[in-house]
Order: sequence, then structure tokens, then C-alpha cells
Amino acid sequence: MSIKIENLSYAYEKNQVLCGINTTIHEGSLTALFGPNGSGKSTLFKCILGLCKGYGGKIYINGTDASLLNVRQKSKQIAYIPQTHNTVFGYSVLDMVIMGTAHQVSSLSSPSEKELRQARAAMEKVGIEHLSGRSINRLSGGEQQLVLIARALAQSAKILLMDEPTSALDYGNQLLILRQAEQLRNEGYTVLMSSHNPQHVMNHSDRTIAMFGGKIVADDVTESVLTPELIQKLYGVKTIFSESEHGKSIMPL
Amino acid sequence: MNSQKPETALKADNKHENLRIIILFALLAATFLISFSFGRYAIDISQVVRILLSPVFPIEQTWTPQMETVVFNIRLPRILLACLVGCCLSAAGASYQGVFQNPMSSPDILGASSGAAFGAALAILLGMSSAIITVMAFSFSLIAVVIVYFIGQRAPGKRIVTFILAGIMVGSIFSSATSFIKLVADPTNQLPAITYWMMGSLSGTKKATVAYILIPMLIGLIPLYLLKWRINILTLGDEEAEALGVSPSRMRLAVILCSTLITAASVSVSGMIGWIGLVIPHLCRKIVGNNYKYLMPASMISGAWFLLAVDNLSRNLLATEIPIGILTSFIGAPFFIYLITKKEGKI
Repeated sequence: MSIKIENLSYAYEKNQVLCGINTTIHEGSLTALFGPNGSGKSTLFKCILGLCKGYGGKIYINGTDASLLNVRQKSKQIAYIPQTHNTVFGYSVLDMVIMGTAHQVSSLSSPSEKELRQARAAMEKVGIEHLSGRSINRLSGGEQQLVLIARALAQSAKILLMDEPTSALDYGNQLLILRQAEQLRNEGYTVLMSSHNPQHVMNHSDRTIAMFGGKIVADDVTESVLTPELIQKLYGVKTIFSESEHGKSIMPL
Repeated sequence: MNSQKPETALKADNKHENLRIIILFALLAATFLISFSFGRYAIDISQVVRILLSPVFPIEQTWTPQMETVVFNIRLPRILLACLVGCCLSAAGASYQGVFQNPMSSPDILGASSGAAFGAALAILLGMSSAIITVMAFSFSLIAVVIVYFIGQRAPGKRIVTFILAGIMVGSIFSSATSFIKLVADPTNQLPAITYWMMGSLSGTKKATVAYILIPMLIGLIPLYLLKWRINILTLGDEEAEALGVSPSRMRLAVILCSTLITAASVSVSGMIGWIGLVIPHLCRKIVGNNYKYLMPASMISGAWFLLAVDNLSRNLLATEIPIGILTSFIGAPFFIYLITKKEGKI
């Protein structure tokens, strides 16, 4: 499952947010979408998900023009993992995860045993089956993020869009989620993850798409894209890269 | 082995919620039967059962014709209407709470009650019959919500917020218009009639009323019951709903249409009965949790039970009947305070 984007542009009223985006998200890769606030990362996500209507250019999901897919067809191929969980009603973890199967449940019925098994398998995969009956509003940020990942897995889509999944988490939970993303990539999922943290991008992604001002400024394997010059251009911060036996570290000056 | 354990646990979980719904239904069934006994003309419960079964089974007649008239012509229509109105208002409240992702939503959030009150007041002012009063209340209730829907669709900004704001504004306009009608109404006959209608009452319910109001109520209730699980997805917000494969705008329109229809039908035959749509879904959230798969049937049954129980009080507490809207507020508001101050968790 891959995503190919050709000459994508999008404007909110007169404000051009995306301009001439051309890229490919390769099958089975963990690709980081890297760039400062307002660079167009979230809008790019929304365009891929079909939430921004009337974009210019083309988005192909596994070779099919995304604009020809209806909501249900698209959700079979792409799952979205939002930044935070913010529902007002405290659903149980099982109730939340099983919602991932909505596209395969007919409009006038409720999930059956099949969907229940799917949800349970997804919870097992991310190690949260013991939280099944707990209210999602009473879980830690990391656990909530795992629930959202489990819901995406229950959706049975092979492309996962993770919107800044570590932004609201403590250090331990950040690593937990990033390792989970790597694990999913290793199992054959195509993962596109937006991030502000260059160290996370460096350590965990195969490829990086760097965005600035609604345009792609770099797009290649992470090692060649992520440089001190790029970070200074995107964030205005000078950094040095140091290398040790454990890998590269990025430190601000 | 590892995979067996959680599955058993999940089934046990569902069983738990289903059992609670069955208990609620048993409570409703018991209250339904007992309600026939209460009233100025008391009837023994065993006689009630015999009278109710007599059209279906050949039972030896041990009751008087008056008893049969009271049961079939007076109490049965009223009891059925109390159950239907309670069921509808509670289901509409639960649905609106889901659609607007707001636990404080109630059936009149889109101005349905204000519109109905205006329609009824106008009909009373024009000296219309009680059937026309009901039709006018029903029509204006729908008109108010249609206006709100079109304003909400056209206004820029977050759809849910614009709907709620439009509901407040349109409701306010209809309330002002109702106040004006009360100002110009004849103070000896029309004004008391308008005031009494607005307090809500099920007195004088006829079989025909139940028969014709049952149609819009079923047209709204059946789809809401069938869509119940999908309302969960709407509560996650538009972006997540769409990413999960559910079209939020279509789903929201369907739920709003059905909820409005049952609210309009209820208010048009019973007048303004507040609190049920807010309190009962909250109570049910404590009993069966937030999943609409269980919350919707629990709210429907509990709403029917609550209004039936309150109606029994309204016709038996004092020598004269107390308007039911007064009692639902008296009981509903303190109960709601108890629910929101109680520590989280199921009952």
C-alpha cells in the first residue's frame, strides 16, 4: 500500500496552505513529515484523508485516485491516529477500539462477534487487552495513544497516518509509541507520522519529508535529509549532530 | 489459551449490560400494570390483569363494566401516551447529546419546544379545537428546527456550535412571540389555557390521540434504535468519524431528523415536559455506560418508566391533578444535581 501525491495544492479561502506537493509514501516504510507549525503538515494529512474538499492535483492510494473513493472505501485503506483523544464521553477501551471496524458494519446494525474478535486482536497486538473495560478518559496519555493505535489496527487498513503522536506524552510514553510505530512498519504497515522532534525523526523514520511554507523542501531517506542546515531553515535553531556507537544525537547550540 | 480469556470476559461484559436493560424493562412492565390500579376509581391489580387479558383469552367476567371502561378508555390511552412521550423525549435527549458532543443537550436544544409552545399558543388564541392545537404545535416545532438547521448550515464556523447558537436564537424568538400572544390573549379563558398547556399534561388522553401520534413517533424511534451504535462514532467529531468510514453530515442529519420528529410529536400531545431528555440519559450512562448500543434502549425504557411513574404521582398526589411538567422539574432537577455530584462510575 503506497500513497502517491502529484502537484497537490490547497487553499483555505485565499490563504494558500499547500503548493505543488509531489511525493510518494513508499509501501512498508515509516516516513516522517517534518516541519514547523503552519508548514502544511496537518493540511496534507487532511487532504490524504479526504477531509479537505476541492484540493488541486491528484492523490493516489495504491494506484487509485483518492477522489474517486467514498468515505467507507477510503477508511478500508487508511487509518488515522489523531494527536490526542478528546471525546466528551468516557467510552471503555473495548468500545473505542471496536469503533475502528465501523466501515465493515452495516449502517443499521452493531458490531458482531467478528468485529469483536478483530478489536480484541488489535488490543492484544499493542498490549492493552488488560485495559479492555477501563474508561479511556481515565488512562494515561500513552495508554490513550495505544488505544487509538489499536483502533486503527482494528480498522484493518494498511496505511497509518499518525498526527504528532508523541506531542502530548512524557518521555517514556514517547518512546513506547515510537517503538510501536517501528514495530508496525516491520509488520508491513505503511506509516506516515508527523513530528516536530528532529531526534525522533532521526532515530525512528526511514524517510523524511521536510515541509516549509506549504512546500516540500526536502524528501529522501532520513540520513540524507536531516541536516543542521535543514533544522536551522525550518525552526531557526542552530544544532550540532554528534555520532556515537549508539547512533546520532542532535543538540541545539 | 491466551485468546480465550478476554473473549469470555467480553461476553460477560455484554451480558452485564443486557441484564441491566432487562431489569429496567421489568421495572417498566411492573409500573405499567400497577398504574392501572391507581386513581380515584381504584381497581384491584388482579382485576386489571384479567380485564387486560380478556380481549385475547376467554376469561370469566369478574369485573364491572365501569372497571372495563376505566381501564380501556381512560387509563390505557394515558398510560400508553406517558410511556411513549417519556421514551421519545429520553431517546431524543440521548441522541442530541451524541450528535452535539455535549452532555448538557436536551430535546429542546434546537428550539423544538419553543416552536411547539408558539404553535399551541397561537392555536388557542385563534380559538382552534384541541386537535388543531396539537397539529399547530407539531408543525411549528418542526418549522423551528428547520429554520435552525438552515441557519446552522449557512453560518460559517464549526457546524455543531452554529447549530446550538441558532437553536438558542430561534428558540428565543419563538419564546418572545409566545409571550406576546399571552399578552394579547383573553385573560379569563385563553391565557389560563395557554399557561396550562405550557405546564405539560397528559390528562384527557384519548385512544385516537395515541393512535395518530404513534405514527410519527415510530418513524423517529425505529431508525434511532437501529442507528444507535453509529451515534458513538458521531461523538468522536467529524474528522475521526470520516476517517472511520462514517459520513458525519449524513449521519447527523438522519439523527437530528428522527430526534426532532419524536420531540415535536411528544410536545404537541403533552405540552412542555422538561428534564426527561437531560436527566434520564445521564442516569442511564451511570447504569449501562456511554456506549449507545446499550444507552439508547436503556434511555428509551427508563424514559417511559420515569414519565409513567411521575404521571401516576401527578394524578394521585393531590385531589386536583398537578401538571406533569411541574413534577418532572421538581423531581428531575434535584435528581440531576445528585447525578452530577455523585462520584463517577456505574450505579
